[in-house]
Amino acid sequence: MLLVHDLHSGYGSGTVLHGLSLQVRTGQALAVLGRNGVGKTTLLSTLMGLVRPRRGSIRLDGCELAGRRPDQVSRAGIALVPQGRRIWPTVTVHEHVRLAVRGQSWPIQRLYELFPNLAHRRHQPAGNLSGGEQQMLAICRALATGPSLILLDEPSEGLAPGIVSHLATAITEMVQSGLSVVIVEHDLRLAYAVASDVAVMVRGTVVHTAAVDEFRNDHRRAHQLLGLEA
Amino acid sequence: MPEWVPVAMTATINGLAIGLLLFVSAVGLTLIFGMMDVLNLAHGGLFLIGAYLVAESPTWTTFAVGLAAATTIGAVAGGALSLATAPLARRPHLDQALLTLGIALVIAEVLSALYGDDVRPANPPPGLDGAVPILGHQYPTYRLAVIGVGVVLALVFYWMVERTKLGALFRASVADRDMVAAIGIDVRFVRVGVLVVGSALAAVAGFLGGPIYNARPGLDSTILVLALVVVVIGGLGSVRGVLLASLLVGQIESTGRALLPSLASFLLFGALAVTIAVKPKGLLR
Repeated sequence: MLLVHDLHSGYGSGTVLHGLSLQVRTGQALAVLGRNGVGKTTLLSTLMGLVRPRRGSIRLDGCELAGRRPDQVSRAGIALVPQGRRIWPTVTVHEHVRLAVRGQSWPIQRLYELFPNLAHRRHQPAGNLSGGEQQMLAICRALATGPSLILLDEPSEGLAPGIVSHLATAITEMVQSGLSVVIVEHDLRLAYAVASDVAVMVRGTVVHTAAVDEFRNDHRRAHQLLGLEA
Repeated sequence: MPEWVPVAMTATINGLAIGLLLFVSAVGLTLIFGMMDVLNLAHGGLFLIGAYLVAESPTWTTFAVGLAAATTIGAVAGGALSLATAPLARRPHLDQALLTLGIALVIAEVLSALYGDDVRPANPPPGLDGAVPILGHQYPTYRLAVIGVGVVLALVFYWMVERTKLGALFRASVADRDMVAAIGIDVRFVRVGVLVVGSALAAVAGFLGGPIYNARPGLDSTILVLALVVVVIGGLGSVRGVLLASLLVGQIESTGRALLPSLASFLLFGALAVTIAVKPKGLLR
């Protein structure tokens, strides 16, 4: 279980997260929603250790992670699929997986079964893959580390609808395997399809949490918090 | 045979020897900068240490011991450099440049105090100090040996970077170091490893290059400038790019000086300017 309490974080002299608190149960898929600039990506970067928090607590299964380096956070069981994928262009698909693979929960064969396209292109440099394949590779790389919690930052960005549907299937399969998921996603159809709960952020903090079914039917609140049509 | 043919041929072989030496020296520099974002201006100083060591190694035994010493000193210096530059890892390049330039000046002054300011001739080991005829022209045996060693080192390094898991880690770190950390790899160890290997290679290059350049004050900055030109032309972090750029700069340095001596410097920096204008990220990036 992930417990985030009173998290403050930012860049330089600017503060982006203002006392954010959040909880993700084991096996839960939580969609973090919010308008542009509310701090969703900063939240994921801080959870991963890429941005150092100024205050607050991040506990995964009782282990304090606030202020730890990204490699320590990864070894504690959190993995990140970053915005823009950030795959390594000159490194082949198979090398991506080999570098990342740890433990027995997601062996290479299982990863290739989840993403058969990648298996076919395993000897290609990642820079030669399509946008969808690169997204699959970013997920594959994160899964290979054997996480208990995976953070997905805008996974559908720039992808064709058919690819997004395949992505939704893969994420659902990950959740069904017992993985906890935090997904930041502008495509609400994808967020609602894969998540069981939503947390809405406004100005660097979580202001509302609800089950997906409850939130998607609460048009007035969705309009108020996200600017969606009522 | 026209008179210029043996001159051009000798210059071309010389260029190959210089180019391969530059590759051994510059490949460390490009990996240190490309992977770890550390601008290491002490690199030339390590080359100079190697050059002075070979000047003290007249026999095969001392040559072998000296080569081992150069490798060890370079590796230890790389470890020390990684410690020294670690606090500046996220600071601007100017801060790192000032620190490593200071270290380079200290190295140069210590060597100057130990060996004086005169040129110290470095002779090849016995058996490699002669010349062999090539197309009727005598060519130094040692330079051919340097070409052989350089080719082997270039092939080994190329294989390691392009074909091994360690090489994949190198390439991943050049592309996005934060994501390497995010898969659970402690990039501090990668940083130390790259600086150790890169610095050892610089000292080895200096040792092998000593009999060509001779040990002398100022050689460190000459080599550093050439290595930086190679890194810029080849592209940060690109081993293939650095190999190509090293061979190119070696030919410009050698053939340019032989055929157009008054324009040699212009040719070198002209090539740099053209590369920056046409391919700002380097030839192969």
